[in-house]
Amino acid sequence: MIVLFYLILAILAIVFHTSVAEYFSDWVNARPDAILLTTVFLGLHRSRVTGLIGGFSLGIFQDVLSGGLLGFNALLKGLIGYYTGGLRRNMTARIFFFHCAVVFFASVFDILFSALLVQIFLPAQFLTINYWIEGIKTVGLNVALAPFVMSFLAQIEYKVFPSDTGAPYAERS
Amino acid sequence: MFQFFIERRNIALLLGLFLVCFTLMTLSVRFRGQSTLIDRGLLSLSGSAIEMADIPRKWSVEAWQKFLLLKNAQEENIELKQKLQSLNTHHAQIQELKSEIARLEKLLGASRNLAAPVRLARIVAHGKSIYGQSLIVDIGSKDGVRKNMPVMHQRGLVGRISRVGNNVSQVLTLLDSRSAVNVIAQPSRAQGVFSISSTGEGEVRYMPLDMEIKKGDLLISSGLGGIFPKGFPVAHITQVIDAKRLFPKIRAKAIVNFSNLEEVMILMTKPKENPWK
Repeated sequence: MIVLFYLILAILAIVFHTSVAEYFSDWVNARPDAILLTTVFLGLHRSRVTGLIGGFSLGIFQDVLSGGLLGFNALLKGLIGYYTGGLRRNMTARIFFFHCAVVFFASVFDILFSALLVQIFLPAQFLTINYWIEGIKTVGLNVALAPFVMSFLAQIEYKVFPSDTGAPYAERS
Repeated sequence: MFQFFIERRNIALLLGLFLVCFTLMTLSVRFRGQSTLIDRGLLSLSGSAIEMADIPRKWSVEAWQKFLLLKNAQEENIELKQKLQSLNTHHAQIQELKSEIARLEKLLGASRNLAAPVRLARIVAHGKSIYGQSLIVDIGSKDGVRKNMPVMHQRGLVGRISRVGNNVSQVLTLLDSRSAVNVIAQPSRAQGVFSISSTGEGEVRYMPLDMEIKKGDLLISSGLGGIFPKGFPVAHITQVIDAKRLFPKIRAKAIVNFSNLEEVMILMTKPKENPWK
């Protein structure tokens, strides 16, 4: 059943990323990365492996939907999922600042690693100043949304599947 | 070998991730602009998700467009209502102008047969005193209006100018007891004087008994007195009483309906200051 929940979560993340996030684009000329937020949630709540697989799958969809370089976001999100999955072992409390900090570093990593991958695979592609400005805005949006999204998803997960939620944090084990 | 990977599952997964992703990216760059098998496969796989993802966007866009349409329709409706109101006002004005043109055309038609030139005047006020009814018209001495000039309507005689101002003039109507018109009855040709009695009724005086006068006979101006030209309809006989007297009591009603007069014609004759001289 928990697989079904994460499947629905993945679909909702894609829906959010392709539709709702567009409205942010109209306001601030940048959109929050819903796939990244979901990947971080998966990593924190499940495990490294789940984070990696979930991040990779969502990233592949993101690549297909965005029409960009295939495997680009899959790699980034897979890595983010993997490393956020590794973080949960060291955490003792679910605090507001923690979510913000994890999403902040994940978003910065996403942007910097994206730039690196672009330089490797598409050296002719010049990264403009707008890329960095948009990146900074995306980081801001992700960090702002992170505590709400995380706590909202955690609440749903806990209420819908209380027995299947596993032990994402030390105090829940 | 297999045991080695199981023991180092995380590293194997990471390596696998890098391997798969780098392969995909390399292929993607290599076949840039072309549709590869992997592309097509993934796109087909994600087709349902894409459609599902697109549904809320479509809904929200459609809902937004409908909202905008509705909002525009509402604004347009208000604007159209205002326009309609404005058009209704214009329509009423046009109707008024049409009726005015029709009245003026009739006046013009009536004035064509007149010897003297005619000035059209608009009635600006109705006056009522113990003597009867008078009118104020919008032209005066600066327009060439003089005292005792006859005032007509296409249907008949209205009265005469009694006072002249610079811009306006007062008309002493036939309904004023101070006004009297020498008339001829048709077809009997009997002559008399039409005036308003102290009770406010129109009457014809000094009409001889031996003439055949009956109800409905038309009274026209005789031209005597020098103010009113001859041949203009003045009144209809409504009643003949005491036919055995020397001068029977004859009641008459003015042809012109003074209550709904709006324009009149002033006959620009050369009037006498004292017509009886």
